[in-house]
Parts: sequence; structure tokens; C-alpha cells
Amino acid sequence: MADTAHPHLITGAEIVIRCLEQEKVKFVFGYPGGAVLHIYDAIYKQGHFKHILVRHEQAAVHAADAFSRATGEVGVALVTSGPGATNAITGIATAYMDSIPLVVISGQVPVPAIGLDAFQEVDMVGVTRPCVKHNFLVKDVKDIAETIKKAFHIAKTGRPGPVVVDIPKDITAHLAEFIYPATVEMRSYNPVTKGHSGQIKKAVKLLMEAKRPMLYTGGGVVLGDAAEGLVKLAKALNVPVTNTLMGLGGYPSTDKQFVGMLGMHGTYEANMAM
Amino acid sequence: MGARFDDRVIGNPEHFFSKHRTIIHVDIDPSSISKRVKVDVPIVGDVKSVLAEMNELIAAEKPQQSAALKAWWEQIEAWRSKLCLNFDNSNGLIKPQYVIQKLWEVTKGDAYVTSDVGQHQMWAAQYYKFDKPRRWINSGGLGTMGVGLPYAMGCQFADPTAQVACVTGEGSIQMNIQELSTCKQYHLPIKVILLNNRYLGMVRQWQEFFYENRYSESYMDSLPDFVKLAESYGHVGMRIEKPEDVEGALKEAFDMKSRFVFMDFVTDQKENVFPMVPNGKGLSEMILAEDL
Repeated sequence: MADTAHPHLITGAEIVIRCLEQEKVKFVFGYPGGAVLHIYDAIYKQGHFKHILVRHEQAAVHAADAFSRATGEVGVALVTSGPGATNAITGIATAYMDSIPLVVISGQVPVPAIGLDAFQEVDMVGVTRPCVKHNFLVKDVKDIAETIKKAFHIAKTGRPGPVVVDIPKDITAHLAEFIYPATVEMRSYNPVTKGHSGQIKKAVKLLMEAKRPMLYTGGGVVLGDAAEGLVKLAKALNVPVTNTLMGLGGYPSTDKQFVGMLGMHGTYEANMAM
Repeated sequence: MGARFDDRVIGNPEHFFSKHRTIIHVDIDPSSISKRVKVDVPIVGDVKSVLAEMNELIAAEKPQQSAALKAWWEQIEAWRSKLCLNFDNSNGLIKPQYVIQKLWEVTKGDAYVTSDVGQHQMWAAQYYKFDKPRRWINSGGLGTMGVGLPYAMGCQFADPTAQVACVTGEGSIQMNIQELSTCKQYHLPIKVILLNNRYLGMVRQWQEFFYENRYSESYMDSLPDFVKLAESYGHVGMRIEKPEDVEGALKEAFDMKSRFVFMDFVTDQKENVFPMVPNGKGLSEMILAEDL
């Protein structure tokens, strides 16, 4: 509830909702529970995104994952603490291995209870560390907005990946002003986007002189929305193209320059050519 | 480009590296470059922007087709003529490859196809010809069984009027079967294509090839009546047992634009995925269907 003496203060839960609005989130896939009850109360009162109730938290993360794969947007899932969070891990690891941008918000026990073997407590940050691009534990309501902004930024830039934001229940009841940062800066995170021009010139020269060239392309072409550029390159040079399992569709399979998928169950021609 | 020389792709690494080739690697993640295979020209960057620069350089050069390239294509055509994906469709049982071929035809190659993990996944990848990106939705890296149905849900929310097909097996579909309820709540008109061979197919294939047919825990016993299960959630259930019924059933299912349809295809249990590069072998050391 907003504090009536200071009308511009809102709860942490309402801040979470406003952040998702700022990120233009259309769907949140989730499953309620004790640690996220305040957030679910705020969801009930909002009308900017649709919450999809699944029947197992694993499915919430998978559905968010596929939503991202299909649209290119960051997928969003919401789970409660403890078993809700651990049920999400297979989904998170799945997204991690395929470099899919997700933000998974998990509830956590109240800050004073953390580490005391509380009901439905699990160290989500510790448990997911090896299978996320990054994770955060928010311990102050004033940090929620910047953390969520950073989470979305990390998820979708550079090599995409899942980011977990662990939010204790009491934080979602505390009050703060909603200020969504226009940009975030992380000193140690600055992904390169533009390739080195000298290397690119060298590569083009080698490709044009090659006697038996081959374009081996994968999920990165799909995630990077680079299919059009790939087709242009392949057509300009009349080079055979093969896809990995993750790259299928990145080059039209019905095109005559496509030699099929390669690898353990790839086509004879793709594997021989490779 | 945008690929990471995964172990499922390169086969035996020593064999892969035994023939000299010049490798150019474009990837946004520097830690992926020369991780498994040493490359000659690494380019760290976003593949779309790198391709744009490459295409500009090439357009300025106006390349000609060389004699060597012509000979290379002739070699590739010779390899293609092996028709490695052909299968024998004559024994009166439903071939899983045939179901996928028909699925591709009935959906005009335009559906979102999600898949679980196993033989059905490989057949979907081999026989459904994807022309657009972001239509083939599967767990390649972790290889997680149970993603198929929730993946289909995510796709249907992304594009409510699109055709969404979930290709799956009896093992995988049971792992998140509770999502039939979610599909009911949100009226998701997904079509489940269950390639039911009453085996944990990919495990059975490896046990046939490498464990002398010792099928340890790979038989799928005590399966539910999937038609009744789907109907209990208010969905449409279909069981297809004859090859001549496959195409008609698929057309009927996809014509039901507002219904979730669970299609249980009873397939030939003996089918294996070919070609196959066995563990430890090089890419050119494939087993083909005709070899066995």
C-alpha cells in the first residue's frame, strides 16, 4: 500500500511491477508462494503484462525461455523461495547452455532469516552460480530498480544468458520512491560488438581465395538476428552452408546451397564437407 | 559463425584436427574462441555487424566463381547423391521420419516446432526443413527432456495465431504432463505430435549399437492411454496406427484452429537415427542406414 503521508513512496513489490513495465514485458510465467505473496498482490492490481500460471516452476522457466527464443525478447519467470526456486534450476541451466536471455525473479525469506534454515529457504545465489550468466540478491528496497535494470541489461547484451534476481519477502513490503535508471554501467562488463576490421579483411580475403570453403553456422546467427546477412554472404560467394542443431533456420533449409545439419546425426554431405 | 565447435558437432577432436584447414571463427564470446579447436582467424564481435562489414567488402570486390569452387560443388553433389536421409517406408508400420515429413507438408514448413530430447528430436531436425530462424525451438546444449510442451506454450503466447507443433516422445512428454492444465486454462491450440515407439528411443539405439542389445531400463512400460488423458483435460485426443492415416490425421488436427490436439502416433519400434557418428569416431566415420 502506498504511504499516504508520502504519496510518491511505493512498496518493493510495486517497484518490481513498475520495472517490468519499463522493460516492456508482456508476459510473466510463474507460480505463487509465500515469499512472493506481496509481488502477486501487486500483479493482481496491475494491467500492463499478463501473468501465466503454470503447474510446475520448471515449466515457468521453460515457457519464458521459448517466448524469448521465438521473439528475441528477454523472457521473464517468477517463482517463490525454496522448492519453487530449486524447481526452476533445470530451466535456468537449459537457458544457460543455449545462451537465452531470461530474467528469473525468485522470492527469498526475509533478510533477518537468511542463513537460519528458515521455512522454504534455499541459497539461490549459491545454487545457481554455475548455471547463470549472473545473479543478484537484493537486500535493500532502494536497490530493486537498479538491480532489475542491470539484470535485463546483462541478460540481453553480449552473449545472452539467464540472470536470477533473488528478492527477500520483507524487501517487497518496504517503501521507496520509484526511480528507474535510464542507463546502467558496470565497470567490468563491456561486451564487444564490432569486430576487428583487420581480422575481417583477412577473413574475407581467405574466403574469396578458398578452394573448398564452408560456412559452419550455429545458434549465434539466430540469436544475433543475422540470417539476412548470412544469406547475402553465402549467395555472393556461392559457398555451401551447414547448420548446427541450434542454428537450424538461420539459413533456409530448402535452398540448394544448404548441405544439411552437421554433427553426430548430421547428413553425409555436411559431415564429409566439414 | 555463431557456433562453438561443440563435441556433438566436431566428432573426435584429434580426427577433426588431423586434416589441415584454415578456420575463421566469428563469435561474440571471446571465451568460446579456440576453446576446443584452435582457430586461425578469430573475430570477436556481434555476428550481424561482422557480416555487414564482410558483405560490404565483398560487394566492392565482385568475386568470380573459380574452377576450384566448381569442382568443390561437384564433390558435394556426389556426396549428396548418397541420399543419406532416405528410409524404407514399406513395412506397413508408421515410420517416425514419415510423420515429420507429413508434418512439414501439412504446416507448409511454417510452424513453430518445439521438441523434447531423443530420437524424435533428431528426426524433427532432419526432416522438417526450416527456412526461417526462431521457428525450431529445442534444448540443444543441456538436452533437457520435458521442455517440449512448455516450449510450445511459450511460442503460442508469442504468436497466438501461429501453428505450434510439439514433437515429443513418451518419456519426455510425461515429464511436464501437468502443463496440459495450463494449456486448458489459456486455450492454447497446440498440437502434440507424440512419436510413440514404446521405448526410450535414443537410449535403446545406443544399447543396440554399443551394448549388444542389452536394453536396460529403456522400455516404456505402463503408459497411459494418451487419448483419454488428453480428453480428461478437455483436449482432443487422436491415436494413429496406420501409415495411410497419418496425413489425414495431421490435416484434421491443424484444421482445428482453436483446439489443443494430442496426437499419439504408434511408430515402428526398430527405427534408428542415421547417419550416426559413434562416440570417439571422426565426422567422416559415420554409420549409414545402408551399412546395417
